[in-house]
Amino acid sequence: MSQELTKLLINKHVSRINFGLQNLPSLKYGIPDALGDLRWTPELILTTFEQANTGNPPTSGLEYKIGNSGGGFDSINFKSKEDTITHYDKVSDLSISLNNRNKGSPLDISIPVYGGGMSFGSVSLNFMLSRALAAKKLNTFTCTGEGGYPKELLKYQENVITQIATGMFGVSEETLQQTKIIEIKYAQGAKPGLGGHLLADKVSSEVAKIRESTPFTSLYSPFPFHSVYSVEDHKKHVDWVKTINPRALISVKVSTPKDVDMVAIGSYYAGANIIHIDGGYGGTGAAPEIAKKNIAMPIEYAISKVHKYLESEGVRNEIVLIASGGIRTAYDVAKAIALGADGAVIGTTEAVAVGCTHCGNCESGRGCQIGIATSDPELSQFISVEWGAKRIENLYNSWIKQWYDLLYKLELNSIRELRGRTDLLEYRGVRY
Amino acid sequence: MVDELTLSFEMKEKITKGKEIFFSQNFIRYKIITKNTPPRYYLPFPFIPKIKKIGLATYLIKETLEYNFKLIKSEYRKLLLSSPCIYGVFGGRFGGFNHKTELCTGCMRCVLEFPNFCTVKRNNEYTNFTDSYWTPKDPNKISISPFTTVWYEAETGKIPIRGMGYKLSFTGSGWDSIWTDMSEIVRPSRDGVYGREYISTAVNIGRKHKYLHFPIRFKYPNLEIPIPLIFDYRPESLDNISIRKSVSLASNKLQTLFISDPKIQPFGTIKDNMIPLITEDNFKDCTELISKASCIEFVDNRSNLYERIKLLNPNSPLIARLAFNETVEARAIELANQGVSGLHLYANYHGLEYDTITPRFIKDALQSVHKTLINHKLRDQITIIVSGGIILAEHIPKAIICGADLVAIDTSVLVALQVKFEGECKSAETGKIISDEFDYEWGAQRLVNLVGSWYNQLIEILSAMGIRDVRRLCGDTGRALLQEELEEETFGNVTRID
Repeated sequence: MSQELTKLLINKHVSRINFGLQNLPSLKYGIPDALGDLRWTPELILTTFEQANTGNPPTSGLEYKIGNSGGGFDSINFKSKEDTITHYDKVSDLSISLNNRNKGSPLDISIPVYGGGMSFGSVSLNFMLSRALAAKKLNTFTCTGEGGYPKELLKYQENVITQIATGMFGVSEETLQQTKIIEIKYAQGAKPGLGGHLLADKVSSEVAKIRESTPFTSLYSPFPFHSVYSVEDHKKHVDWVKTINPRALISVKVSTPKDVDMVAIGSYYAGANIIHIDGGYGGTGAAPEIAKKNIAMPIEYAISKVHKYLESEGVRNEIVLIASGGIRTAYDVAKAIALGADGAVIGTTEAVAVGCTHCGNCESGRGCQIGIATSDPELSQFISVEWGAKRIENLYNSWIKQWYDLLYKLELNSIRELRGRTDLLEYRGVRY
Repeated sequence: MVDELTLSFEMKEKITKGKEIFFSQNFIRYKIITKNTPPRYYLPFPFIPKIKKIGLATYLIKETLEYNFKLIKSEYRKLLLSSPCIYGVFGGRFGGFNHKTELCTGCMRCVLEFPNFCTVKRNNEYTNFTDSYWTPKDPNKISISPFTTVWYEAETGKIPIRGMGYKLSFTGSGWDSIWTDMSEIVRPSRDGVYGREYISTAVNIGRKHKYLHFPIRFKYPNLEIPIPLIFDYRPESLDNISIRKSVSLASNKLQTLFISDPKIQPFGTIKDNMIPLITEDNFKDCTELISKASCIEFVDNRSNLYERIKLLNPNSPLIARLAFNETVEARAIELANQGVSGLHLYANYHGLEYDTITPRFIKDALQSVHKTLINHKLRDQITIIVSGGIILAEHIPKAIICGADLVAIDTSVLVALQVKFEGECKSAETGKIISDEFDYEWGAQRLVNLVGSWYNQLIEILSAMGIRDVRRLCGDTGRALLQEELEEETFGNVTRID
């Protein structure tokens, strides 16, 4: 197929997909029957499309704050004043600090969220670049994931976190030295304790080159780090990273086991600036169903546990607690902060903003039909960098307005004041 | 007098006849050989794409006019006919005018591109099953259910994997209110897909000593099986010759055991895998079988049946079968004191205990029995087998955490074999199947696949915890995250609303 025809084909489908993204939220064609699930309801997906279209909170009347899972964030409300008027213009401080230690440079981000790690290979380059460009515009970060550092990301290096995970794919002195934050990933919520697996079909020549492996061969990230079997080993790991890049902040990404509070305090004493806890109900890649549903606790429980323990140990104000794994909306972020987090990491919602329908076919065949979770050369071009970045930026602009409104109604001046304020929450309990 | 240690080995030799050597002193790593085994009946298609033909025709005309004279070039004609589906739903000769429903994965790309004439509906028939325990509460909102999962596992022997996170309820009653723990860093290694170090799933059936005797003398008979799973007894209303043969053959291939009515003679050398279920009624006819069986289960009826069986065969573990009910704890203590090797505690097929107004779910009843036996210093001496409501891979480690040594599976066997239920199949007393016969070798492979998939999922759970022996998990609720406790810990001080 000629390059011209390929381009025409891509343009045709991209314009059609964009037509759907623009028109489906209007409900002109009704709510698509097979869209969504209990956690990502059709309403949440359509309102995320809408926010990415307009940059404003949804006006379609669809539920955009919670899903229908019957528990966790979906059962929490804020006790805000009875006020049906929205206050999207009541500006308040949404920035959070990512370095609360006395050592090192201060580093603030303008919104209480940054992008989660999605590796090159598991997602397309254009989607990665879209996220990076959006992060730059919003003065926040995105993360490489464990797939190496494509050279195209370099121009966004001020806003890209380099991840070191157990497979060490693409980890080099260069990639560690060119970043402000290094994330050491011990585990991920969707497959806690199980490592990672990039299927052979997705290991294209480009992916293999960056990961320094063989094309079309499955790549495993083992579990755990085979150099880390104790908190002391972990400290050595942190020291090693700091030797390579003394300026970088250290983020430690862990899952949510029963002793997640102990893991957090261990990370603090090892010298981490950020403890990033990842709950089991999120995740953007393929994972065994048994792991997602059954291993380790949902993030809602883990945030509170870690926050309280760090407080009781008297170190809460020195370490930043970031939550991820099933945080879908502006309100989920605010609830996570009220439960005790400083901020959140977002992955799936950014994918939904550029057209992900949450169908879960990421691992099959050519990968994602929209061009997100794929390394297929044609499908990868469905997302142009500027278009994708604009949609993600729009989504967060809508969230910013929702946070302004919420903080105003809660009579708070800053998102930092919301941290740990469970007294501002109401809880309905679980339903099943 | 025969040395008891020697006797123990002789007994082991006896039950390995006709099987691969799994009680051998020479270690052979346990492996389940799975093989793709297509279903007898295919599931309905999960998604139903619908294309309005007038809408499609109108679109094609519009596009033709748009490209106009460019269509003289063949590449433009390709452009005109390129369809939105990457799975080939519109890949047939007539494209969207005669689409291939069976290929639809519900990705919604066609709806995104053409919301004006494409729709995709979820097929409720896909997740609907005659039995409510196997059917999701919201079949119109999700495309996965226990019964589709078991069918997939029985067909492929693989672990179900999907992308984009968890899609179901936050929590649930029963097994869904437990999460298993994982270990972040402190652990030696892992097995799972990488297979570097062996994680043992072997369990023992039989009574254990309170303490070691020196020199070592094994007084009690004890069997070891390589997986914490056996096949449970099915009443006649839930059985036929094909099912029996499939279960027998699968037990043999898996080197595990099956509980069976002794009047049903298993074929060939496979009898060694059978645990005969002895009742007061069939005892007299089964004396020879009892004397040769490597493990025996008897229905507890508070008579002296246990003593009579033991007289006939003192060299095999004797397991008492009793239902979870209000008096189960007290009876468990009596039987354990009496000297039984183990207890097979069974709930109904929906995991609920019998004869109570507000029945406990099996996980709660099991924990209660387990704790009661601990309090009476009896738990370590006996084996606990549980059954009822254990239908998915994750239920095995959860049952073991709640206090079981191993599980016996029941209705999941029938589902894996694609046997149809007549309505609800809530218990052995009321459940019925629509009996049909099938190739037992096909059936055995389906069961091997199912257990193979569950075995690998058990390894995943154990490896995530950093546990290298399933026996260490027994009753270790420290390895569980219980919803009630987490709710109280997290939301105990938060204002509750209705």
